[in-house]
Amino acid sequence: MEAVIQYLLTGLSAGSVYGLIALGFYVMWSAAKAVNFTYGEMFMLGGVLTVVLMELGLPLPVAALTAIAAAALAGAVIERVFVRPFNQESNAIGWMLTTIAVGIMIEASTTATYGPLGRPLPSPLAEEPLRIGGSGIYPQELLLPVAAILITLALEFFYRRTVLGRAMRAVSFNRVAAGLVGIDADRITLLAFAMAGALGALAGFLVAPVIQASASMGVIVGLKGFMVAIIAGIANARGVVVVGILYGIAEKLIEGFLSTAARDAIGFTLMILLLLLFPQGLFGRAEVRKV
Amino acid sequence: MSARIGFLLLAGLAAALAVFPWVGDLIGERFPTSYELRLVMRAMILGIVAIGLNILVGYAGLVSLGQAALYGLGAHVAALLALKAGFPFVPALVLSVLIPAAVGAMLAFPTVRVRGVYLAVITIAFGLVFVNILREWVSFTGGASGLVGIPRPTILGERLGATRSMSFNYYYLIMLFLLASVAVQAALVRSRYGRAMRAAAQSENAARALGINVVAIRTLAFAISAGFAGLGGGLFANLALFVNYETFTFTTSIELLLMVILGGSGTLAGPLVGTTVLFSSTQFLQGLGEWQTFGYGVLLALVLFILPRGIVGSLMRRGGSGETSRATGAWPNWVDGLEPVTARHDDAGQATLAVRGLTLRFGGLTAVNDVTMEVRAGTVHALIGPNGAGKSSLLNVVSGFYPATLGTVTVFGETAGGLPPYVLARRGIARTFQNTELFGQMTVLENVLVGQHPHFRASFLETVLRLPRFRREEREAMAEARRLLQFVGLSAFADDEARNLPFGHQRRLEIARALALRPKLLLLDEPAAGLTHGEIEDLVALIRGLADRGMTIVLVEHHVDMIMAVSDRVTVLDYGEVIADGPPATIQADPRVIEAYFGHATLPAQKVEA
Amino acid sequence: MSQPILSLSAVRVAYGRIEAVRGVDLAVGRGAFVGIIGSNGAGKTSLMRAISGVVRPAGGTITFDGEDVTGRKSHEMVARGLAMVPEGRMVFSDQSVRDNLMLGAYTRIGRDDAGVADDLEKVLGLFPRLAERIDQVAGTLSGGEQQMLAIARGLLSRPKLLVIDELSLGLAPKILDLLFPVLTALNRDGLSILLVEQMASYALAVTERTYVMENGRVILEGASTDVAVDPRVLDAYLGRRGAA
Repeated sequence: MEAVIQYLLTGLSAGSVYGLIALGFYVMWSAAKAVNFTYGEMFMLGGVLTVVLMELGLPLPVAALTAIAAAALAGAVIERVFVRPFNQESNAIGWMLTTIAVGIMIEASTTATYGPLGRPLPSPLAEEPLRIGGSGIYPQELLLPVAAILITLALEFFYRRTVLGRAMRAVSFNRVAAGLVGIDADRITLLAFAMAGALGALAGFLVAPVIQASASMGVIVGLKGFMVAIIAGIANARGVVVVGILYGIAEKLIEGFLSTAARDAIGFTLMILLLLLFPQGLFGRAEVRKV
Repeated sequence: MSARIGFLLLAGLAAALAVFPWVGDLIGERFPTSYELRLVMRAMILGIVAIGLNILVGYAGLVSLGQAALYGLGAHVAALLALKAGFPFVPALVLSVLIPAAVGAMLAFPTVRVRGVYLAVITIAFGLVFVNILREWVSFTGGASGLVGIPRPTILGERLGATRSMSFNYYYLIMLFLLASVAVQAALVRSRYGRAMRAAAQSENAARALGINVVAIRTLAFAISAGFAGLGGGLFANLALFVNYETFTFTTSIELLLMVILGGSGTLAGPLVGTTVLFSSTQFLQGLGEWQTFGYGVLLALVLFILPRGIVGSLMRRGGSGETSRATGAWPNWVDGLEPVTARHDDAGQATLAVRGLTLRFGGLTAVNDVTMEVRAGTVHALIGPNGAGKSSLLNVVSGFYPATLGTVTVFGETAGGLPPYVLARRGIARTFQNTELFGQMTVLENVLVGQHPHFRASFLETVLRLPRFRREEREAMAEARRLLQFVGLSAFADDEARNLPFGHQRRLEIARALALRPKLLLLDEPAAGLTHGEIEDLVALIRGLADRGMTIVLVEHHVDMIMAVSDRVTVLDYGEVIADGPPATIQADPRVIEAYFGHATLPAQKVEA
Repeated sequence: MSQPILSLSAVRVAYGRIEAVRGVDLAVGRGAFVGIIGSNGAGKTSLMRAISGVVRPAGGTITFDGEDVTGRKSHEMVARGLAMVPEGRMVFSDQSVRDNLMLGAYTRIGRDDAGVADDLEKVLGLFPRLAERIDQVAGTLSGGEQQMLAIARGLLSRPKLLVIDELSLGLAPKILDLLFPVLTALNRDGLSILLVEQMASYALAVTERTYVMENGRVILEGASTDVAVDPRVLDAYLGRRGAA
């Protein structure tokens, strides 16, 4: 029983990271019907840049905010340079390859300059584990689900209640119609990618004290986050976060009861099967094929 | 690039590869060394894998980001069979092709319905699972230390060496496989299979309407590309005599994709050029040390920005023929030899198509409401009504694109409800689309050839080996396609890409392509939209001519004058319901029709008539 | 008369090498009510897409309110005072009627909130059925109501010119009988309107001037009353070549 609680708690924490990444994918996909395929690198920048800036002597909040702002900028640049020109036709996948190229460059240059090893990000919330019914967990890890829930709610508020958010939904629904009411769809898309960049970096910053910030921390998390988003159907914010958390918990249960080695093999197989069973995603709507 | 130039280049490449091991003897240097020989062998192996990937990406339009896993699967099948089951080289190699092909098909069959990014994600996940298993299942795969001590391959007792100083038979075996792969690729691409793959990639709807089972053809493409990957893997395992997962990671998948795109995806020479260039530059990139991967990313980005069509693709475009004005033929041109297309059976007067109580709803919207109608063989039956009246929806149900919510559709006396479009097409229903759906990047001739897809009998093997039956069928199909182009007056445009045709010509081509199916029932969805008066008159003559020769035609149309000129019977739809049905003259005078079709605001024209 | 609000000179629209519009000249005077009629595929919608900035014209010039706006994007055209009610209406069916209307005022929010509130009241007065359904999700509206919403949404940008593409598409005559008087009233109050319509009879009855398009060209233009009795129109629409 104790073990199960432990798995659930750590799963909740790990799953929140997937949820946050999936949320970023959702934000990008909604606006552009394309994503930064190596979005995991924004997550990595959040952790690594914060560490580097702190090593340069900046206080934690300043370092974190600077890292997040840098990732937002990177997100915007990636949209403008690498996604937009390659997303002109429906069903185009050029953006997939260009953003993979960018991801390779970001990761490789980070490895070359920052080094291949992870470095800790000190946090007062990752020093003393909390004991919950015999299970131990750092407060920092509990911060992740809280952040995931708050950000989801904030995002929903943004989409529903603000002019800009509704404009973003309008772009997502129909770019042409959005343009016809005066919305600059290109700018909104740029903004969405910047938002996603910031969101990814925030997640990376929040998780860095627990897993250490390394150049390679983003790749697999990014891919899992994207799969989570797709399995959820990339249809709404809540859906992707819920599936992300569930996936994190499933991973920890597999690790606990089967083996760590089998985690990704089983996890990915599970995701492939889910996608085969629900090609539109768990919360996605079936689209009527137009003839 | 013409076929002849391509053949010469290929012969040149074969000669160069054949001579390469002997260069040292000719110039009196120690070149190539065994190391250099092996580099070329590895490049040739990657070339084989890239050829397979090119079939998938360049022709079938599907992107795999997990191709390295299929390559690795082939390598591990060969290694494991040799090490653990003592299989000889040849059967192990055969299985290292077949097993990945089967796995590829299993992976593809359910997935190819989802294209683009979803398929990419599934293939990535497959690649990750594969590497994960190799790494973690140490007792079976050796984990990080891999599988070592694979015995040197032998054929008929002959040891296949890869050492410059002793024996390097294996070099020539790989070369033979590479040349065979090139030949198979070429045969495939210039056959109905290759055409169907490209058709399904360029317009899925039109492909289905022409009798192509899109899921099957994509699964086939996936299996073929996996087979090539497996072959490469099997050859690799027997060259390196050692395999572990590090060779088959996501990075390798990207590298393979880059080879295809760099060379020019969808071109025959592309994968070879791409492999050569990339493989050489990889050797150069190794000099960058820890910045090697970075340079790799830069290279990938540069290719996508500067050469999105690849090296071969860009060269071919530049070398393309300039604009020449050509004579458009008159149409319809009832040339000799069209009989197999137009001559019809003795079922005149029978109901070719019967629709009873048909209802179609999308969510809350009722597009077609309880429609009953009958189309008699050998007649032109017009379906008219205001925009949004449900005409096209009805057509889409009859051709199998939409499943009816209620009611039955009977075609040629058999119930057709619930059958997919490609099955109905094979039974003899052809259609055109409101917004012409041509295969834009295929030539005009190829478009018509796609329409003949269901008539071929030659098997896959006969096709790949270009056996006599395949060649005869291909010749006949070509002759018929040319006749059909003559029929619609487009002979002079046969080698143009369809997307470059003027609009009116596109409509003609779409009709020729539909006729290539040799349909008994032809559904035309607003064929006159966008045509000039003169073209409409020709179209009327064509439709009338086909019907007089026995074909049954359902015509959705807006042009009233055209309907009156060509139809035997008219059904009028409004808000999804039939409001009138009868001969044209009666319909034209029906006050309900006038109101529905022309609106009931005071119509000056009505006053004039009164 | 002062310069027209919209004038087109030799405008061409092409998709790839296919020309949908092959050199159209057209003018809409200030306060005028102009119609474009023509059959499916005549190039009407392509022309509208060029005017509203959805596609860039392949040639020619578009002048709006005295300014050369050729190649401007649609959001820039809205800001300049051109509102378009697109073919198929394109309401944001996942958002409420109110949110749709507010999106219509997107370019004015934060600059003219009082004016927006005024205009909102006005359009709801024009279309009381929208007022009844103000908090409903737009996707649940009937076709006619969606068309009202699309028009109202266009009006909320406070346009100088309202362009309507295929008003009648899929709508019942009794709904059209409701919509056309609204347009006439708006026009009487000074709004310039360009109406693209396949139902020629309606368009000819409400507009002052009409252009007839065929195969991407204007084949006929003139006062609507004259166009209505032109034999070419009768031929094209009523198929009475023999009877006329």
